[in-house]
Amino acid sequence: MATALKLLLVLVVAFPAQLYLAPLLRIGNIRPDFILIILVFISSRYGRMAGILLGFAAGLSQDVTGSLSLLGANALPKSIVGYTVGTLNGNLTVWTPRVINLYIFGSILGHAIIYQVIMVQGLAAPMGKVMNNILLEALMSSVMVIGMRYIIPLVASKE
Amino acid sequence: MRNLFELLFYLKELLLLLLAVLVSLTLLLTSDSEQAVAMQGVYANIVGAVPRPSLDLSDLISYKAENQTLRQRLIRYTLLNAELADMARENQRLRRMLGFTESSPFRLQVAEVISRGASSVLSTVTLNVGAEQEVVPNQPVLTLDGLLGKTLTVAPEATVVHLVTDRNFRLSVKVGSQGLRGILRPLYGSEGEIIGISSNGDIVPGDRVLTSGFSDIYPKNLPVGEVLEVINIPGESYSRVRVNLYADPQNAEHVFVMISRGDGP
Repeated sequence: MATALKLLLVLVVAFPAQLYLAPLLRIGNIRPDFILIILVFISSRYGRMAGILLGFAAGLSQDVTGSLSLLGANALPKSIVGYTVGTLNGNLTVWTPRVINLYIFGSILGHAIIYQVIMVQGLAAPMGKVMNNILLEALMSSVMVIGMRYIIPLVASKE
Repeated sequence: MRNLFELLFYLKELLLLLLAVLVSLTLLLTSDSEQAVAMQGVYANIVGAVPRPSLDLSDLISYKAENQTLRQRLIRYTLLNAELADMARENQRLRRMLGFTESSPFRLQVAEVISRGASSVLSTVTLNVGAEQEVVPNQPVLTLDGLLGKTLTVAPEATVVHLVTDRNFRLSVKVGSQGLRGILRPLYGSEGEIIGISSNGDIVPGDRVLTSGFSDIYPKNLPVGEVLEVINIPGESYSRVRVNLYADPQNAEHVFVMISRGDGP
């Protein structure tokens, strides 16, 4: 219960940051996704179950603030990221840091691909621009997570 | 039976993921429902009630450059205003001569963008005006450059705007010297495409795209964008016209909601 409240509090703090700070740090049309960054840290610490639940809830909250026609566009990839990164929970001491970084990048890239594909569904979007946005989004979040994990180490919860 | 429960318990994380994916997909397929609109109304209410810092980091960084740009704009608009006043006089005279009824100006409500959503890609903006300022759904929203969208969900002190760049946005427009009519749909980012334009129409890059007036929402001649390219596909009787949209939702700070199309104060 205390953990759930703690996670909820983290989300409550992360949302204003995403709403007001992320637009200031945007590159082109892409803004950093602080919710995703926090999700990676929480999932690796508390495992798949917490990752899926938090990813879905946080993603859905992001969707409500976005376009009506895309409700679920964040909830879907964030649930998957919660599951994949949650796998790290049992493997943090087994995998090498390089493999962990690669795994995190892969998960974030998967998130970017799913999200951008949903965003351009039904639009005659140029492939180059879509690829550009996918790579930019994935790189932006990966650099932040991988940089931050050397300041705030990813550790599995003892609970 | 016990084995089944054990299997389900063993696969609980995967089952939870499947459930989350299924719910997300269902939401994606039914997201234009009334419940979704109601949820966004609740969000608009919350965002509208949260006090926003009066000065943020971007203000400090961009203050000087913005000031200079605004000064230049002011001079440009002063000159343009003088020219327009002259043209308005001429127009009035011609209208009187033709026996036209003098049209009333639009009534506009100035609004500030208070949120651009929490997604990594911009898909909606929220304004700091709402029902208390006479805003209702389906009113045009403009920037100094052109049409930004229309009001969608209205809370007492906040309004969510359906942007011209949103995938579901469609607009009847006219373009070129002949005023050819077509339907504008967004492409990606700040670009759009007009469909339904005859391939033998006289349209060249740089032509302005304006609202056609064939709508209960948008009056005619609101600036929407500029033609970038006309694509004629051999064997097809319609051209595809690529358009650069004037409105820039990423940078729009202050906008105007068109409260009424006539009988201003």
